Amino acid sequence: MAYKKRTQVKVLDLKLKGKIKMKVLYSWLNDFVDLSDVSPIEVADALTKVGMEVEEIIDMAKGLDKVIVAKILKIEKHPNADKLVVCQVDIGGGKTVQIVTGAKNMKEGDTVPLALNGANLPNGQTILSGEIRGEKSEGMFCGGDEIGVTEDMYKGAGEYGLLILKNGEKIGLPIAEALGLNDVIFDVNVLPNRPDANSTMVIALEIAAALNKKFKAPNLSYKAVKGESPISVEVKNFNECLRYMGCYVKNVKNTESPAWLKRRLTLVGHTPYSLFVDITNYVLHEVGQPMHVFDSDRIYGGKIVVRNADNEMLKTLDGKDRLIKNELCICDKNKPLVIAGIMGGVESGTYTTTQNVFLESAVFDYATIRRNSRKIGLTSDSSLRNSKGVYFDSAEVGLKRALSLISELGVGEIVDDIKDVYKIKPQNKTIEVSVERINKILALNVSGEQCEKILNNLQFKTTLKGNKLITTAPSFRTDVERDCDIIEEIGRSVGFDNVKVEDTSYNKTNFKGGLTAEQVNINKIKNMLVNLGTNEIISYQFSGPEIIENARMSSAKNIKLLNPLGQEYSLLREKLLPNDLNILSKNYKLGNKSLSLFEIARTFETLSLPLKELPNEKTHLCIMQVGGEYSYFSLKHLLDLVGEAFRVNFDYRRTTLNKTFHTGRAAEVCLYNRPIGVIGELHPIVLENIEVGERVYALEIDLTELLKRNIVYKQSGNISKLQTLNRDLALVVNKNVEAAKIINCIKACDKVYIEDAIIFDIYEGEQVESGKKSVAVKFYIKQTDKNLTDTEINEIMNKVIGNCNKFLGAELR
Amino acid sequence: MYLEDIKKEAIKEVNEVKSVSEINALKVKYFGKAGLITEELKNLRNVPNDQKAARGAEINAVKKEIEELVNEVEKTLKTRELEDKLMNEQIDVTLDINPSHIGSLHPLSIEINKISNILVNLGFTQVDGPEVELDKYNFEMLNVPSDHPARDMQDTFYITDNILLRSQTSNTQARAMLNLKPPFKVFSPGRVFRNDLDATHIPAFYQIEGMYVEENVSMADLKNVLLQICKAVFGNDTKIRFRSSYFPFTEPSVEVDISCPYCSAKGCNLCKNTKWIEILGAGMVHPNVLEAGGIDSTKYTGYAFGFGLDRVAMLDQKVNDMRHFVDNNIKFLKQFK
Repeated sequence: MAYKKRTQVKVLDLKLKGKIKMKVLYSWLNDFVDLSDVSPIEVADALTKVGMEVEEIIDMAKGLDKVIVAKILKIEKHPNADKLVVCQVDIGGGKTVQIVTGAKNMKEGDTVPLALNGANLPNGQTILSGEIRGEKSEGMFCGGDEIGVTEDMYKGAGEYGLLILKNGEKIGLPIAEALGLNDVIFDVNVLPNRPDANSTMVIALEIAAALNKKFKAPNLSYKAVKGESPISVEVKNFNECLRYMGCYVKNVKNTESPAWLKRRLTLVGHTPYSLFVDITNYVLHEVGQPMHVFDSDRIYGGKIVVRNADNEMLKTLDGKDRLIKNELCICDKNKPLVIAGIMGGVESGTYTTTQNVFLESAVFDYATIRRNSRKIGLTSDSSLRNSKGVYFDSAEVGLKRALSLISELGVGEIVDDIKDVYKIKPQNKTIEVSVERINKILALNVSGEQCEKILNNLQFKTTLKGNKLITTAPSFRTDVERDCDIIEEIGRSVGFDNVKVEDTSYNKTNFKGGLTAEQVNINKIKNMLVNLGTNEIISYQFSGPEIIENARMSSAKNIKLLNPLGQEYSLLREKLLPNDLNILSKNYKLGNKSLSLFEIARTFETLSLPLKELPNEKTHLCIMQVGGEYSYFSLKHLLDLVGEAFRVNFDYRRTTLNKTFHTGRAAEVCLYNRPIGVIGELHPIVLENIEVGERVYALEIDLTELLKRNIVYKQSGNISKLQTLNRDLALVVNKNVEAAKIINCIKACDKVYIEDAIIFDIYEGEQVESGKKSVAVKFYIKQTDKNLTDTEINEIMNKVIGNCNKFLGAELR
Repeated sequence: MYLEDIKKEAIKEVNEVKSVSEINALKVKYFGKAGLITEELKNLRNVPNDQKAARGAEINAVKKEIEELVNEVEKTLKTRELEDKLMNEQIDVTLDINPSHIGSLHPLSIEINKISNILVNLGFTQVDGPEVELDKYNFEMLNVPSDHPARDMQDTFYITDNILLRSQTSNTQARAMLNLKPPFKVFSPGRVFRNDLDATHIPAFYQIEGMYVEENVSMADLKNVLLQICKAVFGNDTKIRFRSSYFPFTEPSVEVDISCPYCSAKGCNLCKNTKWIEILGAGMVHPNVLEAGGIDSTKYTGYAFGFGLDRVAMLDQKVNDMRHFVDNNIKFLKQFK
């Protein structure tokens, strides 16, 4: 029951990611094309097919099929309830029903909407006959909100309680019919190349062409009185204002708009204001021309000057005082009145007391309006429309349509002194295209006559000469520039569904596809790491100073975005590690404490900021490990395996200078003697910053050199049938002699016979002198074509021992 | 002792033996230096010459019989003892003591690989381009005039007036056109950037673009290749639908819908009961674009298409929220082993 306070339902969400969603009314479309024999669904399908996708069809009468106009004949107290009353109600056709209600705002003789047994209201409520406290009730009276009617659509609909109908609605009539709700709203997604289609008229034209129906042009005629406009127009910036038309209308009656006009505006999402403003909105929605209406008595000096502001103040209609720097404004002799194409000023606006008006219908450069709207931070229905582009002739169509409505409604005297100021009138382009080319590109078989008809239906002036179409687009089709645009018109009209896959021409080159060599290598590394138990992550290319500084890196050299989404996204990453640590940290905090993660992605480096040229994009590899089973050595092992797969050896050179890493547990990773990255345990301060309470091991290397490698799989020599021999040595060396040095020293002893060397044990303790360690080494001796003799083996052995002593100070244990 | 008794005793003893060491003892008892059989053989020298051969054969037959039995039993015992030993080495075969697992590719990588492979099989060659790009390659050469809505600060990330984060992988096409002579057939997967962050938009997402330029390329070629791709990704029953649309770089342009892979085109929440799902944009390469790439647009035509990879991955892998892809929650990632 209608006890709740009405809430305003905002119907229109004008801006959606650059696309204007256009709401068009089925009944409004009927002004331009007869749709009496076409269902709304057929209309929607036709529009969608030609590229004007209907995203939603809203049936205003939905749920109202069992709601009728009823008259309350008698109201009596409910015998068993203080707060209820029992009504006898005339539902037409000589029938009377009894309704029990708790509503208070009606009296005997009132006409109200009544939902009968079985009604399924728009709000989801189902109405059933029954007894309320022992009294029969055969339905429910409705308030405005329960049947989807707002105050703007019907005066009084917003009031608390029942909707009292005051316009002599016929008893028994379905409510949808009585209130003009027998209508459908199409929510059309207008593509950015068709700014003209932000109008009911052009959408109607598209429907007419798609359904092969006659298009009725809007009424542009009006009655005018002879006279002279007291307002003259001067345009100072023709680059930004392409055309300015204006018309003086005197003795206006700026009252409330008639119900039909308010109803249409409300249904498509405009809030009715007062008649002249409503008319401009109506014209905007009908023919797509944004207009403005001035109280002409407030245009100082009798002159409109279109010029750029010079740091001037203006109080705009949203109530804000704005300093306009140099944006285009519509001014009078002294000051800006309107930010051109964006929003009017409070002072020169129209009110119910306004006596004379000046109507503006102009064409502005769309880029200017978009730029200005962004700079000032102000959007309106007009600015959105203006920044999509308004065509030259639109100013005239819009103005005349407005004058026609004023004339029809008899609300002012139009003075026949229309101002029209412009510098260049654009010429319509004539385009030639052969029918053969159309069919070749579309893979269709459309006749020349058919093409001609399609184009003419879309108001392209078209003739067919032999196999050639010569066509001129209508002035509103600013998107049409060359032959391919004509081909598209034919394609979308015939329907791309008619393109048959079988019509593919097969006599073409046979291409052998492939991935880039770099991609093949990246995939190789990724697959290896996955098989070795690491999980791939993908982070953002963006980073923020805080994230970078958490890793104890400097963010001074990172490239900055001009328009970031926020601090956290304000820089381009120079390294993967900071963002990746952020991911590790988030996972760790969620209780995932054993992690082995990697990322391969691009980083961005530049030598000079601000950026003059494109930065260096380098593909990096970052691996991170945390958890009991991991160590510096497990991480290094992964990297060594990657190296092995690319047949390279990484050198690890101790570094104590990297602030991100543990001073005693970090190394530069070198390839071909050049540092390509760093590996180590993270510095405890970094761990504190990322709030991870355990040791974390991480590496980041530049993959550029590795990815250049072309790994060819081929046999490189004969396989020896002879056994590889091995020998063990226990060497005592100073503690600081690194493993890699020992290995390299042994390998260097004999490049022919010594195949490999590994360290299999390191011992420090009682058995070894302090400051020294005992290293157990196994090295492999390769036999190629013959078995080595003991003498030969001993020679190698002695050289190894000798060299280890000479270069490493090693003694045999 | 008579030979016959020796034999009987030996068979009895061998059959009672319980271990390899016992059988070894029996071997000594019968065949050792002073073994019973050995003794018998030694005693042969006391046998008259005419009976020697017969007696010798007799002893050897018994010897052979006992030896075979001993060997047989020994073999059985050895096997049993080995098995007993192995039984004692029993382990818990259900125990898992190695905590390591295989890792996982990121679901987006999986999808990129999947589609890349499909395209390679269809003859497309991968081309690559920078993620930070000049205006020229991201917009100008692609028929996006300087004040086109797509260039709006709302949509594209800028670094300078002229340098930006690519908003589409089409930049690689612009670059490819300058390097390649028709005919060519290229594709490019990569990350692109738009200034957008809400429930259905993330500021960095993946695209895969394809472009084919040759003489006489038509909408039918485009439809054919897209049908093959969509079938390969979403299954052989997949159907596609072209709807007229607009992109600055193609003319005509189409939005391509696939039959809803979730409900087999019966209508479900995902397809909002429309039975179709919008999946990609495509069209015939705009002659302005070809010309900007130095290609004769009167001779050559081409098609181009672009997938939003994240969305395709969501559909293909039934991922319910695009943000999972950037959150990198390990529990999510591990589902893609």
